[in-house]
Amino acid sequence: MIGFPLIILGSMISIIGALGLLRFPDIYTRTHAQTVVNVGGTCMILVGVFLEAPFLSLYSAKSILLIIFIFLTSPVGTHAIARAAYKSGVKPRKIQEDELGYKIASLEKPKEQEKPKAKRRKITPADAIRKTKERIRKHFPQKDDW
Amino acid sequence: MTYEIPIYLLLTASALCLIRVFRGPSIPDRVLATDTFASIIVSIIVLLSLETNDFLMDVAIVYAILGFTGTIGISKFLEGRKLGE
Repeated sequence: MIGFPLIILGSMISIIGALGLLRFPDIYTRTHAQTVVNVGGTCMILVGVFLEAPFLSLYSAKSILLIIFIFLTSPVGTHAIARAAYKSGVKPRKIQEDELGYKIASLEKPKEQEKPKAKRRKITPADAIRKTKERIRKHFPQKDDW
Repeated sequence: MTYEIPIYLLLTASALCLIRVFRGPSIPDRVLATDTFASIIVSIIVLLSLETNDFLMDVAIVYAILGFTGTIGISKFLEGRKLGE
């Protein structure tokens, strides 16, 4: 009867992981939820089954073997999926600069990096006010008194 | 049937995974959700094997191996490489 709370706890953890799989915004964050389901849920249920089964039998040996197998293969599969997603062109959400992409495609990194920095240094408060006025005029063309 | 409650909880978790499989925006999303679904099904089969028969544990082991192999194969295919590399 020791393993029954572990089994219930593992099933609740797997529900939480499935909710995370639904709610996370990106593949690279969803891999975290997948690891929660694999290691936290399934391995905890298997430990509970090992404690519930008759001690030192073939059945408990098989459950230990499944635990070792899942611990070995879960990070490998997750890493392979994330790598394939990056290679096939799925970009992370809210990415600002993709350094590994420059390295893989061997593109010119400094040319694209220097231009926005030079623009950022030149911005003064007067420029910012003028830009916001231009944007407002673009959105509301009838109000010129701003 | 002492293991009804965890089996129902795991079934709801697998249904949530299937939602992600159906509306995932990209292919690696679907592969990831399928891998999660496979691991949840493995735990359901293990709980069923505690109740009914011992040989369902072998089914669970084989299903875990098949899910891992499918994941690796599809991810290598998406990466643009062959299986031998």
